[in-house]
Amino acid sequence: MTEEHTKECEMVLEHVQEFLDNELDSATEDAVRAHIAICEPCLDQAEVWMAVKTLVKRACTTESAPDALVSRVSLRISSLRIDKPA
Amino acid sequence: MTLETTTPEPSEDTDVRAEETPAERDARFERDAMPLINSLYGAALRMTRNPADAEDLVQDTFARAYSAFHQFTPGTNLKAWLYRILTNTYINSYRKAQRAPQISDGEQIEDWQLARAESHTSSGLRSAEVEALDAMPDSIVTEALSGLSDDFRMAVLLADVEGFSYKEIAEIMGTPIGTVMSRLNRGRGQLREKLRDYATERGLIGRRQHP
Repeated sequence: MTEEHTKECEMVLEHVQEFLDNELDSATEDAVRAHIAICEPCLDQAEVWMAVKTLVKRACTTESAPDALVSRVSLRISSLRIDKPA
Repeated sequence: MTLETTTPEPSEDTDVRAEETPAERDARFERDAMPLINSLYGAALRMTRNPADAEDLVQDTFARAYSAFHQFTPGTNLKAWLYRILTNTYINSYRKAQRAPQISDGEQIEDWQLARAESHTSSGLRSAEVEALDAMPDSIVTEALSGLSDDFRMAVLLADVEGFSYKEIAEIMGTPIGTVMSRLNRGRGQLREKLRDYATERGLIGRRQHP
């Protein structure tokens, strides 16, 4: 493992979440992508963070608001409407 | 083009607010904001971790949003605007009242040291950790999320469940983008650690693979 490669791994691990969130500038994004393609340990890390993101989304798929809440909100807004000065 | 005597709106040159009647604005609120109630309820539930508080929070949020709807610029991100009201309402009213267990932070370096240490063990296929995460029951994930501090949990949910950009999260949470990034990194790091602990206890991961 060259010192240069190790430095690259550090850079990738530092930015991997931004990479997965599509928040990197394109030059850094390209660098991360190129490194991951040749470095299995970094690929493993990227996959784990991706799995964490996916898992959060899957586990928190939005529960529907109870019908009673929808009615309460509508009612509350109606009352604001009536109270509002003409 | 006629002579302009008033300052135009920054983004929209035909702002519906200038022309509409109160009844039309009510209809616009009903049409555009109300369909987002499920999404906001889900977020409220995960913030408060309690259905009764979540319902109150959503109700207060919609009441505030309705009263302030004239301040919302049509054509901009309504969902982000509503989330900002939800978040502020939560922070100002509910969080103070709740005695949520606080997680000590300052674990960031350990998370990353661990990640670094592990990055140089080599395995053949997808890592055992990824396999374990994919098989993780939803209830364990939501429980692990509940164990995060409010700020970390909210950042993670806004990014991963709602798909907001860092910039939008920064606006919603009223913090600089750097703070958003740090909350996301640390929140996800703590989450990963909790889930790894669970998987290790169940014997799903822990043994090193020697191909």
